Amino acid sequence: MQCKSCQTELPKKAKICPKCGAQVGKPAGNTKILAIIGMVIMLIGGLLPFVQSNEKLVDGVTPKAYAFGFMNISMPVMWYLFIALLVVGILLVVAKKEKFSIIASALSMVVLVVSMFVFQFTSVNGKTKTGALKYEYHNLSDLLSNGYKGNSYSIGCGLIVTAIGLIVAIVGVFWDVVALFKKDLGVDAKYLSNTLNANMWHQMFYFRGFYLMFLPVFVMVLLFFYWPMLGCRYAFTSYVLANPYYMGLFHFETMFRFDTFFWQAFRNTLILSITKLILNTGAAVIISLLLNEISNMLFKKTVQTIIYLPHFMSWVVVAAVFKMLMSVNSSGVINGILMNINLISEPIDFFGSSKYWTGTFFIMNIWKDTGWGTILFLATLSGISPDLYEAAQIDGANRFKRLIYITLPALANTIITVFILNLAKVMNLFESVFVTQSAGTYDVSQVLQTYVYNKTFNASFSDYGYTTAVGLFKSFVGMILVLGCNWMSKKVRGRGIV
Amino acid sequence: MSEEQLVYKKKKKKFKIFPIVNAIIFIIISLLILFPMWKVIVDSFDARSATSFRWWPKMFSLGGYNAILTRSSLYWPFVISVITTIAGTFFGLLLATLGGYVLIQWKMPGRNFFAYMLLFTMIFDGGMIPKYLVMQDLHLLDTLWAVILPMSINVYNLVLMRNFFEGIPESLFEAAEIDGCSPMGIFFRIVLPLSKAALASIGLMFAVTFWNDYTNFKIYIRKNNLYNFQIKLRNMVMDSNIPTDDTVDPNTIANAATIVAVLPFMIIYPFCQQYFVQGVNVGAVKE
Amino acid sequence: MKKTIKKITAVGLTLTSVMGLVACGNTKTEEQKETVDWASVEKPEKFTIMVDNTVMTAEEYGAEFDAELKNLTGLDFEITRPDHSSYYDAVANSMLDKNSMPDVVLLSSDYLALYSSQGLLWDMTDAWEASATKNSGRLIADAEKIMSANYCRGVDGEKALYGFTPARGNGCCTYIKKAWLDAAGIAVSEVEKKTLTFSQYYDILKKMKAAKGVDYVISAPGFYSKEAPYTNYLPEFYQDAEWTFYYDSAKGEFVDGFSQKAMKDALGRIQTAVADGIINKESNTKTTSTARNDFYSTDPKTESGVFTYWAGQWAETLRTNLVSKGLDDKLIPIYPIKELGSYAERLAPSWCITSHASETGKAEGIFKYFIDTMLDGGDIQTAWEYGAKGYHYDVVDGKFTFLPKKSDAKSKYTKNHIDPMLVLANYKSDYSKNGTETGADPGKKSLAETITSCSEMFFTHSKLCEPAEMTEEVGKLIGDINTQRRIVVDKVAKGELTVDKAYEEYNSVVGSKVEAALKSLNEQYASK
Repeated sequence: MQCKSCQTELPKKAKICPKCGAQVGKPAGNTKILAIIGMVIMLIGGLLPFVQSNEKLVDGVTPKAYAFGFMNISMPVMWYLFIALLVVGILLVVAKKEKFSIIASALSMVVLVVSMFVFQFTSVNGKTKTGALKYEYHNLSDLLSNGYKGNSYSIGCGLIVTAIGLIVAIVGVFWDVVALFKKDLGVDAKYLSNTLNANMWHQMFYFRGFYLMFLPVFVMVLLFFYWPMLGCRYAFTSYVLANPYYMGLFHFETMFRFDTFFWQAFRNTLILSITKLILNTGAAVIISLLLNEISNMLFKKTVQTIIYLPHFMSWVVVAAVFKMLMSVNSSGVINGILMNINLISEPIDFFGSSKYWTGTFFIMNIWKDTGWGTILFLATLSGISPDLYEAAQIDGANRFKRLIYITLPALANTIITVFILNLAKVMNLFESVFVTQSAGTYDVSQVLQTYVYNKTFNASFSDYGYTTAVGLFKSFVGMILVLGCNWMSKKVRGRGIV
Repeated sequence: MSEEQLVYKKKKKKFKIFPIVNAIIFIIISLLILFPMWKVIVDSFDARSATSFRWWPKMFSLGGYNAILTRSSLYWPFVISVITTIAGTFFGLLLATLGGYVLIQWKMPGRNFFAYMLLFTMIFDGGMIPKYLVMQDLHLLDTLWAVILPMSINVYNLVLMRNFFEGIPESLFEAAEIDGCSPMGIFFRIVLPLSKAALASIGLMFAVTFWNDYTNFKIYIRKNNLYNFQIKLRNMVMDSNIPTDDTVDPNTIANAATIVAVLPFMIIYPFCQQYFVQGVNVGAVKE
Repeated sequence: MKKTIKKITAVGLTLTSVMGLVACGNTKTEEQKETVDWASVEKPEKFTIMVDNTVMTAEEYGAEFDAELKNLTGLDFEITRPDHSSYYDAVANSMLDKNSMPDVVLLSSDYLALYSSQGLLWDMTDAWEASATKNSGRLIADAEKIMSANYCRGVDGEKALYGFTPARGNGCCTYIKKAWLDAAGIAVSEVEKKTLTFSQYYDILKKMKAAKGVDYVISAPGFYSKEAPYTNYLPEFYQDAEWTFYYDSAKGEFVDGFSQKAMKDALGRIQTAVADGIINKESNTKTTSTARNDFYSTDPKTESGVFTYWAGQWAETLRTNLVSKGLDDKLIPIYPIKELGSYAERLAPSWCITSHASETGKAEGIFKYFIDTMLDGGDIQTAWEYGAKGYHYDVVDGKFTFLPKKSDAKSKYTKNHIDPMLVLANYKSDYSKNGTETGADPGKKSLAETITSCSEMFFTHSKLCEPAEMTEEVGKLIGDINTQRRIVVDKVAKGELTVDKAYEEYNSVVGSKVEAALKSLNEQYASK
């Protein structure tokens, strides 16, 4: 093969002409993200029901034969084939052979339609004497035309979602979305490529030691992060004492329509985390401003050491300290003081009553984390040039004016950063609530994570599928928050948070 | 009085009042933080607890600490805490350094894939129940591995470690490569010795998380003899499940247990404060 | 690059086929019931047991007890003792997985009904009928009645025996401090061994409050108990109210006891009593141990004079604690008041064999050699009643003595898992432990008189609780329903809501769940 521009004989597999630096062959375009997204939508569609009962849900009643999807097909191998085809499709897109991925995605759609009408689907009707599930077998076309036990059936959202996914996947192959966002750097590709003509396999061989080093991390990440993600499929099943079976979107429907405790927990999560975030950030800003005014370094260092201290205590310890301080019985100092100055006539149960729990929770949070929160603000404050202050002073600006016109604007960016960083973690509120709550305060203290825990591990009879669904909802909202905060962060300070 | 003197006087007055008020504010804040801790310390040495606050124990007694040292139900959880903290910090540091080192190999094929793979875990999370089921499938429930392994792979700390490594000059790697050092050799002979501060900083962060771990024990461990000190402390204080003792009040034991639970870090904290602070700043400034 | 794709495709296809193979592991088994020749059943291999803290804990020479039991029975087993406060969490978690499921598990009546309805327990009806214990002739008069109360529905909806109880369940009775009666100027004879009416009883409480000038008279570990029968800590106030679903034979259907008039009236009485300063307003934050601490508190502000707690052994424990705190130790366990009729005797926890054991073929052996020997009227029964010789008790020349506790040398052991006052079988007529009286329980004589008299009073004035009916739906819904019930009771008791308002809330939050639960119960009843 020869180079088109300078006619030199090219070495095998060269991407760039060694002599003139011209690109050999077509430039590889951007990865077709949209095609990948389309196939991921198809994967999700595979979890959703293809055929769905039209039965009206009633609170407290678990319907039988409610939904049919890949998860209760009598030949699960079809599902695995569907997944495998899509995975191959995604790999093809990554390998820049987009056109072939159309074959994979179209084939997977064929697999889906074939499985729908050729194979039987199971539903569960009670249990056998040994605790195993009692299955019944259905034909989907039969169900759609004749119904079952007086219920009519219709096409479920799974089929629609998969179809949309297929369209997106095909459109994505021809439409380079990334190009819309990517700026052309205006640099010849040869300068970007630092691997020049090296073969990928040679490169990989060269880095073999590093792959070995990454192996433990890789395995651990797969085991403890990605495997649990696969477990999300249980959100679509009823999972009571082993034997999960497919229920479609039943849990999500019950959760949104009937579960008042779930809404309570969701509301509490938002109220507690956001109030906490505002209080903590506010307190940290005020304290760092004041701390910045201290000129005696020894005093400043000592104060810093003291106010950072509570951060290293676990929530259990903080709760223990406050519990003993605010106890209703003989060792409660706070109640003792309040009663001595006749503010109250009988001891207040700060931890046990819903009226006081929220306040106690915020006080504990401020006590524990305000000091630690000042670190970033102090770093920013120490970065403000003293010249600015001196100039302002000469101009006759007093302390307050200097604060308004110099310090706060300089700090604003950091405040927003801290706020965004923490906003992304709003849904993660768990341990601080978990160690301080008791059954009496659930109406104000139950947050999504504790709700999942209590409903799964503190109940005699828990549907793991249901609590997985609640957890999935939490993860989903959390993901939107993280992505949103990431976007905001990019706008505000030019780089993301993840 | 000349105008100059007037200005001087005004200035002087202003400068004096604010710092004093400010200092008083901080003395109060420090007291607010120290007061609860002091109260716990005093009560842990006092055989009888009482409503009023005291600066000094009335009936001095070491009974609370004695109870922790002599009862297996109290000292054994402490041992468990020590074991998990040491093992967890070791595994955590190992994974963070390995991962961080690989992530700075920009030329390595698949490096970006690995980076995105790690970053995605920070965006989406499988949830508590699927994680529990995975632990069950791995047969790790009711073993200490269940509390050590999942927390030792911490993506945030791994990225932090990478940021530290990035500060190492490229030329050092190149020189070592020319000298015929293998990747492992570079890692052990150049990278690690140069990042002692980073190791200290991230190691301490790991140690604190493992020592303070409550949630993982609560979820993955059901065997009484595998509980750590935090679980024991929560049982004692929040559920009033305190062993009775003749010499001291149950409250004294609870107070002593609280002190024991924070003691290790309170001892090393003043010496390591800079490493802790460094971790926060590096984490926020460059990610 | 083409090669890469080929390789990827190859790997993908291989993976697919492997997954397909894995997926084919879904097999179903239908079990045929076969008759067992009990005489030829052999000792099982090593098996696992899960127990709560009623069996000697690890801190109380538990290992020594295990060793003694292994020695006596010749079996090999491992006993898991989860933390007491989370025992049923641990049970529920381990029952979820066939691999972690214990072979033998100790379950309260609620959980017995729950797990049997899920097919997780082994049906021991036939085994019990053929058992040595049942045919020994040593069972006490009420034993048959108590065992039959344990029958509950399996997955097939048929009632069968899934758990064995070696002892009858205890219950709570109300203790009044004599010192408080004296202070109120009431003669002991006015309350002791008399059936009071509620108004008389309430009058006494009021008089005691006036005389002592205290914040409250009754301390209770919560306005309700956390397990069946739920109402047993304030029986005089709940009277005949039922907490949960029961079959109303007059109506011919299941009803929600909590929504009935009896319960509404009971909540009204509790609200009044809290407002009058009779019941501790903070009861909802109390646990059994903190409520007990109030009963023997030396602080006149927090001391209570009336306490409803377990009968029998606890009568003595309460008394000794009062003594150690320097308080007057005269306690009067009163008869149930007229409106209450009788105290509730709860169903004792039962020993169940799980489906895991039956699948591995150990169930019959475990029943024959482990469960059926608990009440052998000999050494094994003694071990279950008193623990390990030389650690928990000692017998020297026919004299039985309890030994001091390992955790607290000042107090002594009084029993192991089986309370000698409650045991269902007598000893063999020729049994004697190192010269104790032949044919008699070796340690019973060493128990304090308080225990025996209180226990006898209780059993003459108590009625056995009905086991709760269970369906799959009820199992799923009961958690939420009970949560709301507890909120209702707490709010009404503290006067935060009127009874009517609270019930409006109850109906709006869980009304439809209650209906669904009742529907499933009625359907099950109709079909069987």
